[in-house]
Amino acid sequence: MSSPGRRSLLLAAAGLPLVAAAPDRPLEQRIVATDWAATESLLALGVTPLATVDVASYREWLPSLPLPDSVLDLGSRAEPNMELLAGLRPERILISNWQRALLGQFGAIAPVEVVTILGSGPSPLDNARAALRRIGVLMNRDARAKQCIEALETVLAPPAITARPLYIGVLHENGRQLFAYGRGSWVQEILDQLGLRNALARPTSAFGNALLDIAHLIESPEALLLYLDQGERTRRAERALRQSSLWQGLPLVRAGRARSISPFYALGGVPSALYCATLLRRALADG
Amino acid sequence: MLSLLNLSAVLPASQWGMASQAAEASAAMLAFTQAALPRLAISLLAGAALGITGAVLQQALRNPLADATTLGLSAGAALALAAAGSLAPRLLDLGETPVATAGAGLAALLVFGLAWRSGFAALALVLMGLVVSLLCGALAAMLAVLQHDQLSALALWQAGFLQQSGWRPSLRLLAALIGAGLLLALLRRPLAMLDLGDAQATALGIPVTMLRLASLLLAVLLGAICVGAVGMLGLVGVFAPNVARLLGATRFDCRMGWAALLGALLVWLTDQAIQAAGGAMPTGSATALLSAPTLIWAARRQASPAPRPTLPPVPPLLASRLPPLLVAAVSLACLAVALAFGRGVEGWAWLSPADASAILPWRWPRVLVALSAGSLLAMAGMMLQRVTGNAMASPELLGISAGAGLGVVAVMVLSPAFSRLALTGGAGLGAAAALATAALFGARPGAPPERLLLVGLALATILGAATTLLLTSGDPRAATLWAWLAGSSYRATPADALFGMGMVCLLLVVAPALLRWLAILPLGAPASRGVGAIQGQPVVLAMICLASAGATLIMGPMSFIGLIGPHLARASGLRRPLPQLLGAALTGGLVLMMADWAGRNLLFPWQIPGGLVASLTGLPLLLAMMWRRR
Repeated sequence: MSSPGRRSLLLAAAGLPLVAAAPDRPLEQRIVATDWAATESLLALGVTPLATVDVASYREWLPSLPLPDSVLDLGSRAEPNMELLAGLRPERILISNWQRALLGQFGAIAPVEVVTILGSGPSPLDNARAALRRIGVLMNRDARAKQCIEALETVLAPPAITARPLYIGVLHENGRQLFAYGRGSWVQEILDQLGLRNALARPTSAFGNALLDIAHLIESPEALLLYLDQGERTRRAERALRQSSLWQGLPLVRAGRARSISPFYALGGVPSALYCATLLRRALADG
Repeated sequence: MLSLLNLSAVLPASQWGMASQAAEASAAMLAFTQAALPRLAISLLAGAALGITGAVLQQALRNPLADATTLGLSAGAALALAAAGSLAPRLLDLGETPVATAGAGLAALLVFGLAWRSGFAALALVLMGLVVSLLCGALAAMLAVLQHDQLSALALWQAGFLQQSGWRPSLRLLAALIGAGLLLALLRRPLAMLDLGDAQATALGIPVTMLRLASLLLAVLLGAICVGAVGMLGLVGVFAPNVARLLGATRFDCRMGWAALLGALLVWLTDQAIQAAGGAMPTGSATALLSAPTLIWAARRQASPAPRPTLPPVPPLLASRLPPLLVAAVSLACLAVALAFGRGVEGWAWLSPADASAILPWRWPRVLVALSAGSLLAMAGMMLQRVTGNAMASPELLGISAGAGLGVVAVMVLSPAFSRLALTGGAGLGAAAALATAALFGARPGAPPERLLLVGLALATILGAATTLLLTSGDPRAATLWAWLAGSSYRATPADALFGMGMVCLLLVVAPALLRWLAILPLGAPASRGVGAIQGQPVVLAMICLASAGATLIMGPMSFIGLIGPHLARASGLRRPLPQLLGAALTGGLVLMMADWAGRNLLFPWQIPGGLVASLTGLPLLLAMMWRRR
C-alpha cells in the first residue's frame, strides 16, 4: 500500500515536481529549518536545508518528499541543538509558530522566518499556501511555489464522489479511542473543498483534532472511517479492536466501511496537504 | 440517579428490559450494552479495588499515605509501557493491560526485594517505594523525550480514561477483585491487630512478617491489575481509607469494606459527572483534581501527625574530610570540562579558541544555571530535611515546583505564543501561589511539617492531572513541557545564570543566621519549643521556598537533587549544619552541572534534560546506599 514507488507516482500524477530526481542549482543561501512543515516546503521548492530536526522521525512520517542524506540532524523538535545550529553559521532559520518562545535565541544566530500553519487565522490551508509563497520569495523560487500551489488546487478542484460523511483519524492502540481530524486542521478544509462531509460533529482542540470514544462512531452510522496506517501501532490497534464487541457491532464496521490509508503529517504544509488530498481521492476512487 | 440519567441518554429506560435479548437490534442498544454499562461497571470495580489496595497497604505499612502510587506501581506500569513502546513493541501485541500490570508488579517486587533485608520495616518500604517511583518516572520521561511519538500513547494511558468498548476488561477486573478481595477479607482480623504495634502483635502469636508479606503481595497484585486495566486514577487509594477513618471506621476490619465502598463511589460519581457534563475530560485526571483537596482537608483534621521518622545514620564514605585544596581542584576541573569539552559533529574534542566565540555564548549560561539550580535545591533539601527531621524530604515535595509547573501549563493553555516572559511569569506566579498555600497550611510555628508535605503531594497530583490534559490535546509544545518538567537548562539566558548565582550568594549569606535553628529543629517540636527555636521554623521554611522557587524558575521543577545533595554531604563526613550546608551546595551544584554536561553530549545532537540525567544516575546510587546501610 505504501511503497515509495506508488507514492512518487501519486505525486507525479498530481503535478508536483519530483524533488529527489531533479538536480538543482547550487544553493544561494545556507538555510536551516527547525520544523517539518518548513522542511517539506523547502524540499518541494527544490531547496535542500543544511539541517532539520528529528531526521529519523521525519523520514518515517513524511516519506513523500525524501530528505537528502546531506541534511544534518539538529536533535529533538522541542530542543534543537543551539550549539550545532550556531556552528553551521546559517544565513536564515525557518521555525514554526509554536517555537516562537525561542525567537530571541534563534534570532541571535541568523534572521528568523516564522512559519505558521495551525493556531492562527481561520484557514490553516491558506496559512500553508502563504507560508510556501513566502518561502518561495525568500529562496528566489516564486515560480516553483506557484507551481506547487497550483498542483494543490488541481487536486482539490473536481468534487470527489461520495455522499457518505467521513471520519479521518488515527486509531489508538488501546482499542477504545481514536483521534479524529476536524475544524482547525487543513484536513477539514480539504474535505470542504472536495465537497465531502466530515462525520466528526464534536468540538476539536486548538490543533484541529478531537479524541473520540469508539462508541461515538455510532453517532454517524452511515459514515466511512479512514484511519492512518502507522505500521505496527495500527496493527496493535486493529488487534485490540478485533476483541472489542462494541467495535465488531458498529454499523460502519459491519458494513466494511473502516479502512486504512497511508499516513500523512497533519501539521505539515502544502506538500502534506496535497499528499493528503491525493490519498483521500484514491481511497474514495477505490470504492 | 446520575447514572440512570446518563444511561437513559444512551438508551430510553423503557427499552432496558429488551437490551438483554436483542443486543444487536439497534445502534443505541449497542452503545448501551457494550459501552455505557461496562463503563459503569469498571468505574465501580476500579474504585473498589483501589480503595481496598490503599486500605491494606496503609494498614500493613502503618502509613496513611501508602497506596498504589507510593509503592511505585503506577510509575512501574508507565515505565513498562514506555519501554515496551520504544524497545520491544512486540510486547505490546499482547495489549497495554498485561504490559502495564507486569510493570507495576515488577516495580513492587523490586521495592519488596530492596526492603527484604530490613525485615519489611514499614518506613523502609515506603522510602524504597518513593525512590523506585522516582527512578521509573525518570526513565519513562527520558524515553518520552527521545521518542516524541511515544508520548501521546503514554499520556493517554496515564490520563485514566474509563471509556470501554466491550466487557472483557471489567470481567477480568471483577475476577481479580473477587479473588484478592476474598483472601484479604480473611486476613482482615489479624491485620487489624497490627494497630497494637509489631511487638504486641507478635506477642499475641501473629506472624507479623508473614502476614505483612502476604497482605502486601495480595494488595499489590490487585493494585497492579487495576492500574493495568484503567491507567492512573489519582489518589483514590489514599482518599478512600482516610475518609473512611474520618467517618468513624477506626477499626481496620470495617475500614476495609468502607474504603472499597467509598473508592467505588468516588470513581463512579466522578465518571458519571463527567459524562453528564458531556466533557471529554479523562476520569483519572478528574479524580486526581477532586481527591487532592480532600487530602489537604483530611490532613488538617488528622489529630496526630504520622509518626516522625528519625534521621537514619548514614555511614561516612570517607574516613576523614577531603583537603580543601583537592575539593577546589576537582570543582575547577569539572567546571572546565563542562564549559570546554564536548562532542561536536567531528566527535569529542576540547573547544578550540576559534569556535569559542560562536559556542560559548550558548554554553556558559547553561553551565551556570545547572550549577546554581543544583546548589539551590541541595541547600533547600538540606534545610527541609533538618526542619522535618525526615531524611527523605525533598523540596519538590513542598509543592513549590508543582505550583510553578501549574503556572507554566496555564500559560501554555492561555497563550499560544508561550513566550519566554510568559513562561517566567507563569512559573513565578504559580510558585508564589503554592508558597501562599504552604504558608496558610503549614508555616505556623509548631505546625507538623508533614502537613506541608501533604499540600505538596496534593499540588503535585493536580499538576500531573493538568499536564496530562495538555498532553492528550495533541499540542506540539507537549514535548517542550515534558523536557522543562524534567529539569532542562536549554532555555537558559545570561540573565537566568546571573539570577541563579545571585540566589546562591544570597542563601550563603543568610544561611549562617539560621544555623542555630537548623541544629535544634531536627529534635522535634517539643524540644524546639523548649529552647525557642520553634520561632525560626517559618523563617527557615521561607528560605526553603525561595530557594526552590528560584531553582524552578531557571531550570524547571526537577526532583532528586534536593534529596541527594544533603545525603552526599553527610556521607562525606559533613554533619554539623554549616559544613553540611556548604557541602550540599557544592555537591548538588557540581552533580547537576555534570549531569547537564552529560545530557548535552552523550546523544549529541540530541539533548537529555540535565535533571533527568541526575535522577537516572543518582537514584540507583541512593538505592545502593539504602541497601548497604541495613
